[in-house]
Amino acid sequence: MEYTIFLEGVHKSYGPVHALNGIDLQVREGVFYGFLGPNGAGKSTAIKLMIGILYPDAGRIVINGYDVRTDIIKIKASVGFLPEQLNLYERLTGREYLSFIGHMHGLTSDMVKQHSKELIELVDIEADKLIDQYSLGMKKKIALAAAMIHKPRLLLLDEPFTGIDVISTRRIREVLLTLTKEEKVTIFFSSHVLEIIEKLCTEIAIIHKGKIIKAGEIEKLKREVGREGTTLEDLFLGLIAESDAGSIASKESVEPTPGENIG
Amino acid sequence: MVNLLGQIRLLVGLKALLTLRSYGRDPLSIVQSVVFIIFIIIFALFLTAAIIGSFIFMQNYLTEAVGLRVMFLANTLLGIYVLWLLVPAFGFRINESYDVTKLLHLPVRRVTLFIASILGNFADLTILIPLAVMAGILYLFTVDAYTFLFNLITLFIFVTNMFIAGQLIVILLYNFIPRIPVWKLLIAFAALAMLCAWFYLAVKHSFRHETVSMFDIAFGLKVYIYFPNGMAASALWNAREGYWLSAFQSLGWLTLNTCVLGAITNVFFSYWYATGNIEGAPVGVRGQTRRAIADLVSAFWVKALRRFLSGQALEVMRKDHLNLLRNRNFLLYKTIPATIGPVLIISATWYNVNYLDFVQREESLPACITTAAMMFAGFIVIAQAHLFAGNIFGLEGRGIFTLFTTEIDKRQIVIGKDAFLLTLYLLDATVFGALTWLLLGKFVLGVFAFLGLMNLFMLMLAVGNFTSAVLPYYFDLERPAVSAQQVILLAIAEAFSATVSLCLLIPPALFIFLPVRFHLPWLEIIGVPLSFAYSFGWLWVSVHFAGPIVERFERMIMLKVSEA
Repeated sequence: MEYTIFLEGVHKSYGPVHALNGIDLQVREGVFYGFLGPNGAGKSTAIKLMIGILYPDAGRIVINGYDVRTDIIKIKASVGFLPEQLNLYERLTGREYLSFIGHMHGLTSDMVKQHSKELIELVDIEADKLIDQYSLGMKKKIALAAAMIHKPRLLLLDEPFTGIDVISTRRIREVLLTLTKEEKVTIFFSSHVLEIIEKLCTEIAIIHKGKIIKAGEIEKLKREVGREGTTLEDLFLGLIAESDAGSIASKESVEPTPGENIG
Repeated sequence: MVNLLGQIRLLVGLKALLTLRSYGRDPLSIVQSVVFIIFIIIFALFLTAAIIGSFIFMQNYLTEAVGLRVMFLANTLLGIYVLWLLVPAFGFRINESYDVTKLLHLPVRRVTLFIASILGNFADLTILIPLAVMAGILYLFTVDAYTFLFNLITLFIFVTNMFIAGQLIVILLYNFIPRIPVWKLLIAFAALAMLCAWFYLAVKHSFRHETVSMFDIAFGLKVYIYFPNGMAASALWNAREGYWLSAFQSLGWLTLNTCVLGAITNVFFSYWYATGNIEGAPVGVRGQTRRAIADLVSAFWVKALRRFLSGQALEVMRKDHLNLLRNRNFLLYKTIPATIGPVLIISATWYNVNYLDFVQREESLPACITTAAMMFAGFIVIAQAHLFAGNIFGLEGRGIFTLFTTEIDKRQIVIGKDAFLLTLYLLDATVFGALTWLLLGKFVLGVFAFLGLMNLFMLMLAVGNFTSAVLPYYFDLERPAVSAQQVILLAIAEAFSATVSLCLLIPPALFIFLPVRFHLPWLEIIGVPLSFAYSFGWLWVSVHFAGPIVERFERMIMLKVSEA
């Protein structure tokens, strides 16, 4: 089976710190996929590796059928990306920013105009104001619109709902659901808001300390670990606690405590 | 997929638009932009006129000194080159498009970004200075249509070389060097030290002669020929004289140099491109050593000055020390103004002044030219210090808002900040004095250079206190919007205060430099304390004047905060 996202044995380090320790991940086409993990677990690093902003130290990454080591431009052309820290040109208006991104993706001027109009209506922003006059929520919305302007087959969204009000959140949620159901767009997004993930996603992966500790369909995972009928939050907290307990136990079995003779 | 040219056009267009938009976001920036634009235009025109005038003067009155003219051309090109490189080094990032990390997720190749970033320099307003000078050189060296075409190509390649070097500086300064481990930085500094030693030997050699001979001029040119300015000067000169083979040879070397520099820059650019978003690296991995040094230095100065300053002023100074010393670019900021700058100034200016001395004896050059050349050295240092001080204020500009919300006496803020700057200037002046002693071989000259520079720095602080205090008075606090008339008035006021500032600097410059120049030690003994008293007096007045102004500024900020 061909996966939209395929990661195999991916490692990434920042100096002495291992951000990712050999993660494996497969995401099918048209799936709304949630990526969960505590702060510093490696979520953003994994997403940046998928879009080719960072290069892996080891392992294989294939996105939309393209290998990240050889076809990076094709990957970027076929993926829409919303970073957690919004890198916008704040002295452009929203409309100008969308036009710039659209043209950089090689769209014609007519297409850019048409797509911009649709997206501006969709996310409901004042497109002719400078971006530096936008609130955080508005900035998120324009960045999301920019990620969708070239109608990508895969959307990588890093914390898309942070700072967005309830009304806009619902609206964006509906848009994203329509994209997955009707246009078979794959959406991979990381979030701390577990309620949203539970409402939207059919499948999830939980990452902790640079390792995927569980991945699969939410209900199946709950059954697997014997937590049927509980919330996603219970499942998440339980798995993290188990993982921490396991790592402490394995550490203790290797490292002698002071004064103890292992011989 | 969009093509290469299309993306380059889009990126250059983006840069131009952002540059345009960077002027005039609020009343203060409108004023600063107007002043900046006026300054750039006047400076560019004045500089070009001065270069053309000097060259014609040398051509008419110093007919025998052909080498001097070639040297002058090479020095002019070097000056423009160094000026261009220093603009980003002092932190003048006039728009957002240097930051390619905002484009990393787009389907754009790094070579496209690289070319666009080089071409994007033409969208900067500061380009007016090199372009005006290049136009002047083109005018001076054009004899016929062939030389015009040849010179145009030569200057274009020279400017491209300059842009690439500027790009390299930007990449190193803002993205690459902070990530280099300390041991690699030490290797770079060892290389720099070797370069300085080599330069020292070269200068020392030339000073063995009682007067600077044509041999020294030729020697200078031989050194320059390995650098883009020398190659371009050689090409332009030979084309003008009709030595086409040599002209094309020099142009070939310049082109090769540009290509090699481009290739090296592209390597750094690729590294930047590949690791451009590494900011997500976990906190606490880097910077431990830097923090320890910052704590040590700030503690030393607090201890040293606690008898002279109040507790509040000491705290302000300590905060600024920590802010700056913990900054990852601090080492680089200090390296450029405090080490490379003085080396260039002392060696180049002293070398030329000695030659002027020689010419003066031989050809009765007016004495004022020698004096002006001496003053030139001092003013370059002043300008450099001013830029550096501005940059420091820029670095900790946000911190001052926090201070306004406290109960601290506002005059103590000014005193604390001045004390902080004086401690930095002390380092600059010490390096400058030591280099003067080392390069010129006379201890007394080193001492005078140190004292003179400290004196001028003190005066600069006073001027800075006055000028920074003048601006907020022009704003109606009830109406944040500003009219065109106010902008013009403000621009005039700024220009006036800048002129007055320069005039204030003349007496101490005369006190310090002239006795050295004319070997009058008795005048120096009187001059140094006199100029110190003069500068300290201005500093004292400025602190007492700036205190209430800061209070008013505080109210303005508070008003804006409450509006927001």
